[in-house]
Amino acid sequence: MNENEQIVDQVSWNLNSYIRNMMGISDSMYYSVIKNRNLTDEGINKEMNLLYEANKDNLISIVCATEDGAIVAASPVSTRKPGVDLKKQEWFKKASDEIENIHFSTPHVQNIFDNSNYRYFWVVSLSRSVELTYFGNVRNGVLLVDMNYRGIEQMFDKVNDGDIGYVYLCDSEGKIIYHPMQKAIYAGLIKENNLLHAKYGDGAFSEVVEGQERDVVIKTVGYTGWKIVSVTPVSELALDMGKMRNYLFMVAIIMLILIILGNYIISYVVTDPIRKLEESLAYLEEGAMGEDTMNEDQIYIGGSQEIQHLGRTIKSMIRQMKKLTDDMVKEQKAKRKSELDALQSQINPHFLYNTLDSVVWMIEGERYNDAISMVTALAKLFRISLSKGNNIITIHDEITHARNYLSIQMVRYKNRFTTSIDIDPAIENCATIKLIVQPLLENAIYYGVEHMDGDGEIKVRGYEKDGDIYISVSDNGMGIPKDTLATLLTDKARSRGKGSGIGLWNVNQRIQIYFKGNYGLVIDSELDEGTTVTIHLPRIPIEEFRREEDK
Amino acid sequence: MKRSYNRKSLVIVVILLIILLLIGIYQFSSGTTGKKPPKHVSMIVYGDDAERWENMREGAYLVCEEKNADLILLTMLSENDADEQKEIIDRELKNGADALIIAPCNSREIREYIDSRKIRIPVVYIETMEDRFIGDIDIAVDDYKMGYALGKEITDNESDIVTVAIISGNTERDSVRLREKGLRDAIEGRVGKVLNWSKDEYKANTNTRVFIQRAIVSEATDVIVTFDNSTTDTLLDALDNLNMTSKVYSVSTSNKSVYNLYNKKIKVLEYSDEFSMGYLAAMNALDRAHAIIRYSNKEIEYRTVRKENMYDEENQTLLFPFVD
Repeated sequence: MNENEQIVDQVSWNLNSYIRNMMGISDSMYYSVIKNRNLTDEGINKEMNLLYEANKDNLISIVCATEDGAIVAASPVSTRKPGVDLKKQEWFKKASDEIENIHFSTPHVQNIFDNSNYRYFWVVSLSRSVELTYFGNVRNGVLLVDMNYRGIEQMFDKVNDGDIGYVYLCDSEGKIIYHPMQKAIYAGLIKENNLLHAKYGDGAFSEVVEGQERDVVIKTVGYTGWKIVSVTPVSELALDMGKMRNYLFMVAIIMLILIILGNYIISYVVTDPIRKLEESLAYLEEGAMGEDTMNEDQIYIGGSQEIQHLGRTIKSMIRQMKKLTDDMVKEQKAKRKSELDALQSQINPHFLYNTLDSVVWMIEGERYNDAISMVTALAKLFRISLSKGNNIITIHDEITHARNYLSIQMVRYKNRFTTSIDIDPAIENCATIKLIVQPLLENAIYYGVEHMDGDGEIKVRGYEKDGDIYISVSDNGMGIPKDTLATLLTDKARSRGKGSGIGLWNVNQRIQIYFKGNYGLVIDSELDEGTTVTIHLPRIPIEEFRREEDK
Repeated sequence: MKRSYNRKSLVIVVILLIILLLIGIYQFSSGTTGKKPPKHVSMIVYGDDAERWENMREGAYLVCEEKNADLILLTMLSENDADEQKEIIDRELKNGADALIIAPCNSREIREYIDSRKIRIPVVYIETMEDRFIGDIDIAVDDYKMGYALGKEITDNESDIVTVAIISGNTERDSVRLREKGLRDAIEGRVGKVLNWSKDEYKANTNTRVFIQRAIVSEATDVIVTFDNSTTDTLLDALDNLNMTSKVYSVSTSNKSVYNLYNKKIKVLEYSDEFSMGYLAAMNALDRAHAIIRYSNKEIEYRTVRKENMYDEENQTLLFPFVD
């Protein structure tokens, strides 16, 4: 409705301007040319012609007639139709009857001049009463400006170019001046509500004509009293809404396609490379940081220049990290080796001292054969201890070492305790750090069964459980007090420097340094019932271990 | 794998959207109501003067424009060459016309030809078709009544001893024959003498104007009557040539006859509302082309026009169409 009002306002402005222009022509003609000039003055026709020429696009003719209907001046010059009585024409009558006004007719066929080739002109006549001077005498006359109807028609045709509704023009009595279906209305083929519209004031209305609901906007044109009427059937508006809906639907689809394509392009150029970069970093983060597999070439470099730069920076950073890690690992290895070597070196003199002590004791007791076999066992023991400089040996060798040790101690302690060794053959070929069972046996003897006068019992058991290897050394000695037990594997045991703790702490440290994780010793002891020390090792076949070491 | 799956989904979604877009564009271009492509209406008329049919064309055009149809007006080289008109009909059928509006130059021959062609598109006649089949549509004024009204004008205006010359003209058209019949019925026994200026009686003369001129100089008459545009225009030419005047009573819609009505060369003119004829013909043709059957009770109007009333408000809209 608002849009229609705007259209009507625009048409009204145009029409007003057109009418004012025509009235201006009439005023100019009257006040500048006719008034107070003698009719015989040839200048009247000349100036009328000039005025006509200047406005001939909108004019059909300008005529000045006396009150008797005699034409005194006309432009363009034409032959008057024979028998035409101007006085009988509507425009003449109105001008003569109401001399104070300018009158606008409804469209009609001009019936004044003879036109060749059967031509005729539809005009809207603007007529007014004028004073004509003839040799000093003033007479009344009529000035007619016939506007080309085509001017109004074209003005409205432009407005009615659209598909929805139409705009028409009627006079204050409802006579149609312009209507897009004017002839059909004249022929009675269609009907217009013009008589009713002429009665309405300016504004917007709704009406129902022949069952059709229509929106109507009316505006009166200033001087003429003509009414510009915009009529829009509601059904056409709905149709237009449908069109608009389709249009919006199409725009939405186009936008959706553009968004998806845009998304795809952005994804291709920006997101994908970032995601790939992130994936390559996540891969490294998840485990590829291992010494051997950390490979900066796996870092994705692609996409836009910025992302490529980012990738290259990360790659360079990883290269540096890798170098630093390699350096750290080397450093750590060296450190561990030196620590292990230090711990290993703690074992040897300790054991040697004890064994030699036993040999001395046997020689003093003139048990030379025993001393010989002990020294032999000691020699075997040292052979395993040396193991060609390897810290890692098979469990089988370690247990053999333990047997040798026990046989030395059995001789020394005159079989005051019994021993049993039960090793699962399946684990015998697995790797272990050397000399970890012997310190446990040593502790079991010295602090467990040494003073038990033949009732002492030491059991060594080796087995596999949950994929790991366990080697337990149990004695039925007096056990370890709880407060001592709590500190046995801590640094306190080490700081004591002697006693039962040092051997266990030593073994535990060696295992943990080498295998890390949860491996090491577990001590279970009950006073007056005995102690079980269990070694927990990973299950690594010796061949696999050596292969890894070779790498 | 997941990535590949996403890409496939994306491609499917885009294809679906493009299909929807194409459907939308189709709907938008053909209007929201799913308007069909425009119908092509061919208006085939006799004579070579397209301007003479302007009023009718204007009426038909108004409907075609409103109903999103194309209208083409096809004139002939001659006034009454049925073979030429048949050729035009054939050509239009071949060109894919969706409806034909025909002003037959020869009612019987053209109707028979149309019937024989078993045309499947709507054919609307804009001339009276006396022997039309059920289902044929002719949008025409009541020619008998119009002829009768013209005869009545003669008896009302002239004395009962007046001599009336009747130029039958193009009697191969039912409309002309009916007008003549109506006129004869109206004047029978009410005028002094009736002269039959039928071209058949002057078989040696093939030129209508020459034949009329000879008739005028051969037989004195007070009133001359014509029933169609071309004959009326030829009569006016003949009178001009002979520098003679006569009381001409005519049925015509030509600009020339209107012009001469004002100049008193024609005394009374029966003028039919050809705008309405064109309008209703196109309306019927397009309705039938869209398979809509609608019967209009609208009677085509005709006016009896004299110089005195030709500029009356209701007459001038009929006699002087708004022509672009």
